[in-house]
Amino acid sequence: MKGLLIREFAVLKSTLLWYALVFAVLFVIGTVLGNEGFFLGVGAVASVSLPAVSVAADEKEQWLKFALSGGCSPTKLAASKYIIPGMAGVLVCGLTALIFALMPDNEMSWSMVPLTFTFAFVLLAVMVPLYVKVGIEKGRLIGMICLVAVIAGTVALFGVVNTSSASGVIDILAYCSPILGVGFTAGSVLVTAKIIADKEF
Amino acid sequence: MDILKIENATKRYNDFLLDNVSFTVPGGSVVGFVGENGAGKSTTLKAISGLVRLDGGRIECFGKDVRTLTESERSRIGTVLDDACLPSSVRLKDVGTIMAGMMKNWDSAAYAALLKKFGLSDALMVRELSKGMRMKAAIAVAMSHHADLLLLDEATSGLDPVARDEILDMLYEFVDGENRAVLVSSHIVEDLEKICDYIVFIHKGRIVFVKSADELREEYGIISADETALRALPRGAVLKVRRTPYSTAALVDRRLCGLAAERAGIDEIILFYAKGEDL
Repeated sequence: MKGLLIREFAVLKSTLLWYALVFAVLFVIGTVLGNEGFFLGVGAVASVSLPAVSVAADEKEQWLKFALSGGCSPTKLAASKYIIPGMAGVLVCGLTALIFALMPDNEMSWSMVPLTFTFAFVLLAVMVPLYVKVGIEKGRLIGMICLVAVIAGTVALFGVVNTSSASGVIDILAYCSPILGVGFTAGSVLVTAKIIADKEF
Repeated sequence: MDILKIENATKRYNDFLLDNVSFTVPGGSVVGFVGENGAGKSTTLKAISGLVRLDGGRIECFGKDVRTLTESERSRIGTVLDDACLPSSVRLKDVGTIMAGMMKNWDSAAYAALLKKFGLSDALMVRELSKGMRMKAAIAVAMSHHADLLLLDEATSGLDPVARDEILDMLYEFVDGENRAVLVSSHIVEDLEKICDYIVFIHKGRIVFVKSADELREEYGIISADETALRALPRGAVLKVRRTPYSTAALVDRRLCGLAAERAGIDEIILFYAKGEDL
């Protein structure tokens, strides 16, 4: 696994620096505007884009073929796709919490912190097997469609549900949601491992 | 002891069938795997490496079905595929670091020594390497984790004659003893003729023959004669013919053919089977 992570880091190295800059800009904008959606957006960018870069490199270098022929297990290969994006998701969540703590007078809800975590991990859980199964180009398109659908659905739901009266329930669900995120991701690793194991080269 | 045993391996694609391929790779041997493009060599090697699933048949490696090999057992197989898929965004020394983190039996000293032998600086980025250099690096990787079986798919293509000669010497040394073997597919027939103990010829998904180098030299010959003379030969003597407007050349079994037949090289045998006809 160590070797796989070194390789993932080598592939993502230059991209991580670029995304760190993008995240910083989005965090500043979100903080200045007091718009919680920006923090969710940062998590989404990490979860959708970092694995895309990794899988695109896999396709170009035929890395899966090389690793599998060298005896690497599909499960380890699959897990290696989640670790760095997952760490980025945790970092985003931590930075969100830090910003909220440093700005106690803001009107943003603390439930956004676990929601940022959950959103990032659920997206990661959906996108990685999609990329590995259908490839980067189709995966990006399908992912974009799913993301738009989720955002549209969420906006519509918040338009229908009386959030002020249900705020306590929503907060509880939000704080419990990381369990969902972790569970989805664990299941997703197994799905991705099966996709890799069933691939033919 | 057979290091590798393939029994009736079958794989169906839309426009190709790997049809009941069977052969073995004995310990202590170098086996050459030859055939024209699209004959099924790479498919067979990929099936051994676990990169394609067979529709029928069985492949055993180290006495075990390849589908049940553990990670540790699979690391006893060193594979060089024809596209040498090393991570391109790292230096060669980082490739060693990556492999050390992936393989239990990784030998960093052996890797460094092989890179030096091949004249490759470990500071080079993989994406800066030429095709030949990349192939040399891939071979260095395959020979740096104490593998007992090497699978080389067109591994010497793109290499200069000096590098090819070095690698052939290394392969020869590699199989010193009964516990190791090499299966090498190549179009560079003179390389195979130099070091292979056995040659496996595959044509259109089927094994045509599995013969030792000595048997090939003794059994296959080429004669030019008119068709009447060829038809007069004993049954089974003429294997394939190639007709031109001016003459007919035949690949013959020298043991059955009373006429003096010039010994056929492996490339001529392949040509007759690929482009020849039945008499």
